[in-house]
Amino acid sequence: MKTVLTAAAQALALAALAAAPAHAEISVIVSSHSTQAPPLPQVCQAFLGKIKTPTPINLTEKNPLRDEFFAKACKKDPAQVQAVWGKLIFTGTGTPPAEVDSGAAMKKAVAADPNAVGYIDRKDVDATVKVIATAN
Amino acid sequence: MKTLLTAALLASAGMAHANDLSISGFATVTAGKAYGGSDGEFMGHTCPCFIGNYEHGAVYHDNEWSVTHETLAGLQAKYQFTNQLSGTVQAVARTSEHGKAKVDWAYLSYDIAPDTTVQVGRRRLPIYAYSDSVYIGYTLPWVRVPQDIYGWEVGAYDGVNLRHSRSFGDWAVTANVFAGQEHTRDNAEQRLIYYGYRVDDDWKHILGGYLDVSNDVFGARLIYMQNSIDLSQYPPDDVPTFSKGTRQRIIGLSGSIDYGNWMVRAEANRFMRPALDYKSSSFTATVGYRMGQVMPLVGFSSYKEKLTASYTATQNDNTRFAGVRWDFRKNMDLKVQWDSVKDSSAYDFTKNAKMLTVTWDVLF
Repeated sequence: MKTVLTAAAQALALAALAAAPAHAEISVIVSSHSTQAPPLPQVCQAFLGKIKTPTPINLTEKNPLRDEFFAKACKKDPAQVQAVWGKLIFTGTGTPPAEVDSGAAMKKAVAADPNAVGYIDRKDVDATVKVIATAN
Repeated sequence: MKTLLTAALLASAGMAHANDLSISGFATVTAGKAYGGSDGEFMGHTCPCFIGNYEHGAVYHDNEWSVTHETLAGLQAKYQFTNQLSGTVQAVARTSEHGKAKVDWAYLSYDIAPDTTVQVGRRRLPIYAYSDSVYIGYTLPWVRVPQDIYGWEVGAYDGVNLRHSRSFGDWAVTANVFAGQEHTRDNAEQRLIYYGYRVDDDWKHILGGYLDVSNDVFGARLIYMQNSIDLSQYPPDDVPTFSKGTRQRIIGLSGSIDYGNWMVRAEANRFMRPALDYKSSSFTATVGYRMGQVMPLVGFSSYKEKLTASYTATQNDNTRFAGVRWDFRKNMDLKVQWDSVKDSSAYDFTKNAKMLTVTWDVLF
């Protein structure tokens, strides 16, 4: 039974790897005008609605970088994240992050708000934002 | 979740100050059958009998499959008046109540500081770790919260809630206090599970608080609550009786672990009503192992009342369960769970039963 389970787990892990998007190095960013530099655990707490500051900005679910960010930075799979947000929405304990639909929109939104925190592909980083952590 | 799209559009346009109405919802379809165990009768039902939900008096019986005991759908509207102020109404329709929609939540929420929120109105009583989300099936690892521990007759209240959350390094801390009251006329649990006739059950002078700490692996929550209970009983062929101001104290501790693929949830509670010489302890623990979209789990729950000189009709049950959750699509899951209840109450309660349950949960 144990071997079967292990084999099944390995198969699932392989399938997950195969389905994963091309490897990207993810930069967690704040505005270049921002004085805050929250550590990664605090960034995850904000994205999962445990705390309200900094203000998290998320990508829409169509963007593969989103699932990659939660998996790498916060060790959560999409179903776990969805369950956490579902609880926030229907129990009045918080709000899921606002969403933008592209890396460019993310950069613009974060650059414009000194309280915001977001994430983009490292190759898209420019002078309008500051990298405060890297997840890969 | 359309709200997110709206929020996204507005945020990307750089106008986050929106007057914004958002509608979202959830639904759970639950099919189950109680079997095996003991024959006999419970509250007019032919057993084996299994209590799927105490609060709404849902009992599986007659060796039959049923989808009408726990199936429900909820719709929530939230209006964001300003960045700080919002109003939320959530109505839930349950097949056990013939689909009549009931307002489970209705409150105003105001951020008095970035990390501090005050809420006024109708909310769930946060006695247990999952009491806020008991009916949001998608947010639960089980087909239902363990009823040995979550089996209380008053689940909501009208009042005030104050919450403060902040980060201490790797730890997030939430401190929450609440106060209010609840009046239930012809309480569903009292009629369908305990008395068989109309009982009005009022919880007054509710005052409580909890402290929740968590990092990315561990979580713990300690809660204390006190209130007074007014009970008005209307037996069909007898004079009504009234008891007022019975003091009650509740203390609870829960913990969670999410480490790698492992998931552990545990919770213990104690209810005390000194004037009735009543003391109960409940306990539950679940261990699950996530394998991609599939998570099998096993667990145990128990409820015990203390036998004293003046409190002899004690209720004592425990349940072993095993189940599996499958996240087969975004925002949807399917679950199958098997339960085995042992009832050793000092009076004729449900007696032993086994239960098979299949549920489908969705968020929209």
